[in-house]
Amino acid sequence: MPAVELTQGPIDAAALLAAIGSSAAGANLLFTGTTRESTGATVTNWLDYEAYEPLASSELERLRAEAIARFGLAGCGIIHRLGRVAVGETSVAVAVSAAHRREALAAAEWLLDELKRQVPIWKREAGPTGLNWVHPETASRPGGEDCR
Amino acid sequence: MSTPPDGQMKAPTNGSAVVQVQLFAGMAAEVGQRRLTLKPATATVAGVRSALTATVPGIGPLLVRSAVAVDGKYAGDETPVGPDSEIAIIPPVSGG
Repeated sequence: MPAVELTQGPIDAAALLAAIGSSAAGANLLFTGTTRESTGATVTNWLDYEAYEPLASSELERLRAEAIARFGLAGCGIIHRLGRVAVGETSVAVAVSAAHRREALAAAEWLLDELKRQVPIWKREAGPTGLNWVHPETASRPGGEDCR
Repeated sequence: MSTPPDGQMKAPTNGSAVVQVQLFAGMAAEVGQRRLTLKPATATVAGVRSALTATVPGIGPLLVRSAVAVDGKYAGDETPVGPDSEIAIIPPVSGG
């Protein structure tokens, strides 16, 4: 299983967690992000994801390498699904292993924050009002301040 | 302009380059196309931004919040572009 993957099919999160296991690790953490059926009063029927795949893959690789260096991880894997993701299904899985839990927990949170800031993947929400691409108003430009 | 050792003249860096840009998500939906051909006045990312704004009125508010990638890397406004460049407009992302 590749350490970083974009996939059109369902994500096997348990397999990802198993793949990053290490005898150096005492803490193993799996995060899955799933399609939520409502956000406030807004109902979601499903999400469609698309990516600029060459850059999304290289950005995920970069974040993985940085997380391993920054938090001293023993293992790290990230999978993001593309295409249609039904309510309850997994759109993203992040697995990390580290010697101790604090590094693992901090690394997972950092990875998800950076993924949502930097990686060129977009979601389109399907609901009663139609199909709406999500481009957060408050987001900084992906690629960092030097691109302004 | 100096002549390189192989005798070939360098391509002009402004004025006439035709470039292809890729669009995604809400920007592709707004434009109604995933690819556009542009002829920026200046062969840089800044020139691409200007040409895109001129070609697609109304794209400005989303474009100013978008990054530009050239040949698979996020690129600043001064980055040069040409006919062979892979240029992608990256609107605010929403993965996860």
